[in-house]
Amino acid sequence: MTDVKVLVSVGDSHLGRLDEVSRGAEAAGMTVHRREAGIGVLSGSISADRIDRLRAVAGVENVETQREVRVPPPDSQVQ
Amino acid sequence: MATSPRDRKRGSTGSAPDGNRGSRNAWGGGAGGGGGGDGSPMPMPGTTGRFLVLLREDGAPGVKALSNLAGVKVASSADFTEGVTAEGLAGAGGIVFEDLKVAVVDALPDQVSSLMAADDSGILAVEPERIVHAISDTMLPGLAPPRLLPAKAPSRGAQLEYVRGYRDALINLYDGLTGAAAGEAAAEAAPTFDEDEVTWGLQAIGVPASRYSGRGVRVAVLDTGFDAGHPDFVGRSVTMRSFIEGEEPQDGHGHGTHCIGTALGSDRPTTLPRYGVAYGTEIFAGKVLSNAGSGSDAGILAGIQWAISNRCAVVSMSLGAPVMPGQTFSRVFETAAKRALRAGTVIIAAAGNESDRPGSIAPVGHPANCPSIMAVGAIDSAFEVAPFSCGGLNPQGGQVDIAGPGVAVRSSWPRPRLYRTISGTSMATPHVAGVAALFAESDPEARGRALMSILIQSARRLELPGRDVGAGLVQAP
Repeated sequence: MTDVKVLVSVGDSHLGRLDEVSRGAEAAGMTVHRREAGIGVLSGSISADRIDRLRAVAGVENVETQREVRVPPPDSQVQ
Repeated sequence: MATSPRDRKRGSTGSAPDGNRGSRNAWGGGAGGGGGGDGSPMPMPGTTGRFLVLLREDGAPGVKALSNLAGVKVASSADFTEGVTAEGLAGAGGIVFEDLKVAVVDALPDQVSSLMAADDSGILAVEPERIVHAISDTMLPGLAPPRLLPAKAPSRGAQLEYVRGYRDALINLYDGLTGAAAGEAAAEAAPTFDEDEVTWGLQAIGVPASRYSGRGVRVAVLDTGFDAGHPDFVGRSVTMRSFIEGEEPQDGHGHGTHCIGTALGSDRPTTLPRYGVAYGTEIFAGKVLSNAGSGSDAGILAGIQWAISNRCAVVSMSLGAPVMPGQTFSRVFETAAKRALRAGTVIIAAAGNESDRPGSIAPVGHPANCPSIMAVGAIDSAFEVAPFSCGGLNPQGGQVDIAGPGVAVRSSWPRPRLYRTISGTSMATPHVAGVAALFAESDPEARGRALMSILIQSARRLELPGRDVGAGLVQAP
């Protein structure tokens, strides 16, 4: 199964323990690329069939797939 | 009603104003003492003839300030243990409410002129005391106009005639300033803007008259980066960071430079018109979009965290992804935005450009659709909703909070081009972000949710659906 890019937000109870949640996420199969401590967010990728395991990790509150955002090309009149 | 305050004042001792007022003043009174034998100045319809004086909080105690300036003797609320009464006020020229730092004074017109003219007096504003059920604010810009001195108490018809004359004089003045033909109907038409010196957008949001620059405030613009060598930004404090692997923060697209220009550009660009709101801010340019214009949620969240860690009061994000009708907002971004607010950082994002009005209105996109992120819609210089501007359609989150100028917006562009005029909710967003920086400078408590509230409360209500413009057009302090 292919990897999907995901975002994880931690609950308030684990806001000061992001590293701990990150280790738990990795144990569940997530490749953690970034940890944003203040806002309590992890980003990275995981195989789609492991997302449920990721949701079950202590401190994980939300798991979402990442979206791509874009702006129109430079020559566009509406940006 | 109108004559009694004058009569009482002339009759009382100890509160007579300085008699040496021989010369005619703007109030049109006769030479010499207040009023004169031909009758007192008639207050404008809807006012009592008294004046409200707003005193600076740290200035001299109110009573002293008024007395020093204009010879106005007032009582103090501190002297009344059970509330101020009319009997208690007899003989005084007015009353200072010490906790509010507001005085109501029985001043004569030239005393009012003294109060208005005083520079560092501790007097912040003087305005006529209104009768509460009359609502002609539009007739009283600032202070009431010079008063006529009728020989006798005017009839209602005469009063209306006077007010009509004032209205016509204003219309005439407006026509003269805008070059409209004399006598043209002064319908509440869309404002017309001259962009020789200042862009229409800055005029529409009241920036030229603002005394704030965002000094001491840090603003992060998360976008395609910034052309830090642009000549209009010489001498500015600029911190740059790239969250795009393999790319430097230098703007290879243009979008980021344009947005930074609008939000934070100079009040003295090398070429007019002025296009930037908060010219005194510290610029934090976070590249979360590649030079090709694309990025991911992870990069945006990293940029948001960087801004919070650097104590930026405002984050401006002219970016997003479309959402489907009925789709809800990202809980991850909402959580991040709530935590940002608690840390004193407001996130302001573009509502999106997927609409094609009037045919179709698209819902506010991600991440602007988060309730804790301010979503900005776009209007044009005729104060109509821009055809591309997304609307608050989705039931969960997805509201437009406020509107900004977003059509034909001129701003900076990377060298060598230097300037470009484009449209988008991307252009409306940095107008709001810049104004947020001005409010943040004006009040150290204006951070986080308090800053969001001030922006919304002070927006100019428009005759447009809240679905499209939220609270209305952002206004600078």
